[in-house]
Amino acid sequence: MNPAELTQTALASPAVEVSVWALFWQASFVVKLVMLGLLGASIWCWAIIVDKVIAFRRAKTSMDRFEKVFWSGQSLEELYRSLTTRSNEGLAAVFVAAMREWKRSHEAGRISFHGITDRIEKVIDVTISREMERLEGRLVFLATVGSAGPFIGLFGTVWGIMSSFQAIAASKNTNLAVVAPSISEALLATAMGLAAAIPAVLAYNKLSTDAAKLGSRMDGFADEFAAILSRQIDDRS
Amino acid sequence: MKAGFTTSVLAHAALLLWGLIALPSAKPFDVEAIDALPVDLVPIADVSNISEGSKTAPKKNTASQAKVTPPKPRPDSQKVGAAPTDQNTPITEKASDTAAAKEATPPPPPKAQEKPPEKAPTPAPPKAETPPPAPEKPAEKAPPPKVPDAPPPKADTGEIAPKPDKPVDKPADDQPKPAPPAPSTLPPSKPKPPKPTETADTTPDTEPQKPPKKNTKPTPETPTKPTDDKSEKFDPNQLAALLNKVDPSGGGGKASDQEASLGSENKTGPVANMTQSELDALTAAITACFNPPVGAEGVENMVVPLRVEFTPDGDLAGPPQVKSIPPGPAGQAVADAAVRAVQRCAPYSFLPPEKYDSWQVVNMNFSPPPSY
Repeated sequence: MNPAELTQTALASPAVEVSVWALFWQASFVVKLVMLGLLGASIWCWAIIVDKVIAFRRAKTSMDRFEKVFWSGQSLEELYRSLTTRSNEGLAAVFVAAMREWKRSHEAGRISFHGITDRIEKVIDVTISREMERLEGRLVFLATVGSAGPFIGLFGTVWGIMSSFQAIAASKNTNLAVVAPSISEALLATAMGLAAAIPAVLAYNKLSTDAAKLGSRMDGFADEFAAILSRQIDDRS
Repeated sequence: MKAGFTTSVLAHAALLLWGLIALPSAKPFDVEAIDALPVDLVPIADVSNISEGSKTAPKKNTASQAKVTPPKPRPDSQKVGAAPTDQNTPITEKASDTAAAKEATPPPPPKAQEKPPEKAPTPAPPKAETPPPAPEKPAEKAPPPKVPDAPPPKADTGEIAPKPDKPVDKPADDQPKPAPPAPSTLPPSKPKPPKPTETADTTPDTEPQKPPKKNTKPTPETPTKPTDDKSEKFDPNQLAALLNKVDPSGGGGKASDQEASLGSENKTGPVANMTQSELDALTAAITACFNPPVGAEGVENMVVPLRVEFTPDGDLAGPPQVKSIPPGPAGQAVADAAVRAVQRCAPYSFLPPEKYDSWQVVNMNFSPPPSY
């Protein structure tokens, strides 16, 4: 192949397609892997984000509803009975757990007031931490993607540019038209890393704040309920 | 979680699809097609040619002989220039208006006017004025020589000093000649026109001989001599006044103070120029044939101005002329050696025949090569 042909083909091929899709297919194996991984991370991130947003909203509404019922003057016994029939979360779960511990202390027939407050508080703590774990679960993944995504993308870019320079050295043609596509494809990796990381960081900050709010709300309810039960215990003793 | 995952997958799929459709490919830059600029390599000789003047112009000493287009005579000029054609000017003006003549703005008329009073009506109207006119004759006579001489090369004027003696004698003889051109008022103008003509003619021959003196010096001298010979009324006390009245001459027809520029000596229409490369070739050829005279020192510092005439086939039309012998004890020997070199190398067949016009006569400054 004489030099004229060489330059012609080298010039002709890159001019064919420069779409994002074409760039992806032209990329080397490693870069492709990085881009696919970032795409998967992005998908998973958004799945978590959607899931958490829905879950937090539902948790909030359920808390609102429960507090409304709880402070409506309804008998706690009735409330407990109605709630035990189904799975509960949030405040309802805390209430149910505490009531269950309370009932157990009574149902045995022997009324042992000693240590009941401690037990109830322990149960409440456990329940709250379990609820919080459920709320905050997977948010860590967002944080990870947010901090590591750009690095992963950068790795893909560096790898792509490295291989493109190797190609340049091999073809001995530094024409910008030859160099540009491979560099562009390498930069696509960083672009995808950023595209995955930016929403992840934003969502992580927002969701973790929301989760903390929900947690503090549960803590407040737990304290109030514990106080009520403690008063009952003192009354009965 | 399922809901979230499906939504996310769907959203990403939609985003990618949109990207494929909406961002199919980057817009190519609008690159305007630029025509290629042709670049030619042009020999400097074509550029360095200057159209009209002397072929050897770069050498200031010798170049001045060339014919140059005369500057248009300024209104002030006396028209006493070299060529007889310049003397067509009517000198006939009114003789009596001496007084007015002085005031009159155009110099040429005043002179004419002043002259007449001198010879015929000298005693006439204003005494105060008349005396000056009388001296003016000499003054005017004097200027003519200046003008013709001065214009060509500055240097030439020095020669005038010796010549004036001849002209003085001739004017008397020549007076009849000038008469025809100026029919109207012959008597007054007799002496004046003739002198210019002769001086002009004589000067060119002798020009090369003497190197520059300044115009101003010769002029004062010349006026005095002629005046003594011719005019009885010359008053030495008035000399300064007379001289002052001489208008600065603008030069005659072909006269020019300017140095000739590189060009052909016989210009006919658009001048064919000897390119610098042709001159170089000629010089190189002559240099190759040059044998330095034995024992001569400082040969490489000498410059021998040569005037060489060629025949159309590149041969010499005659023996080369040495315009001036370089100074120094070895000057004559070197000049002879240069002439021999030119003759030995003839014919110069490489000179382009179609440009014979440009190299028929070549004035060149031959600088001998450093001896080895």
